[in-house]
Amino acid sequence: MKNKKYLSLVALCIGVTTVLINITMDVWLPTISESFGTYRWVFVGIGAGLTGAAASTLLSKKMYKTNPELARQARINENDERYVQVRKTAAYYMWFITLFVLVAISLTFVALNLKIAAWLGLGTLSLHIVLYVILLFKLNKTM
Amino acid sequence: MKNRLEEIRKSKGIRQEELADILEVSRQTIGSLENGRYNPSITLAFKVARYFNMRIEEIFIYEEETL
Repeated sequence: MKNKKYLSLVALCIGVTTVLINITMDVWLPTISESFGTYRWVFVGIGAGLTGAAASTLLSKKMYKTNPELARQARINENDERYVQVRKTAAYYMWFITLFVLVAISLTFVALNLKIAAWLGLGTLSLHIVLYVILLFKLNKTM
Repeated sequence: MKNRLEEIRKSKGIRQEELADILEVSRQTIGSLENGRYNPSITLAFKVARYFNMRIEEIFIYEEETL
């Protein structure tokens, strides 16, 4: 529990620092900022994501600490067996939807003669299927 | 699977929210159970039965599917 809090704090620090560095470079050192090209937006995205996720975790922890009833309700909602089933079913359908999306993307790349992108698409599709099969075997042994 | 949960709950004068609170599930789960949209796990079925001091089969009625 405490480890999770520290992890969230570290994530928040990394996230805020990343965003601040990007803003600082944009304002005062635009030449350096531009030298990173489009990659800097990846860092901004990761930084913003980390900040949001860590801040929400820390805020909810603080709220649960001051309001035990809210914490209890949140725990019930999280562990409610019907809702767990709903989440599992949604994830199962999402696997199939992702499969069709990856097939569509790969076929589009093939049609556009974008070979590298098509191979990347097919690779991701294969990985999607292989990981599913591995998970099936693993869960079949443990359940 | 059919069940008599709504009938038993009402006969005891308990609201869905109260039962959900006692069983540590959401109110929606109690609603879904009563409507027959959701079949409970064996653990929840035991919890329900123990709470009402009844046997599982007195609350949940298993009917074999006919082809």
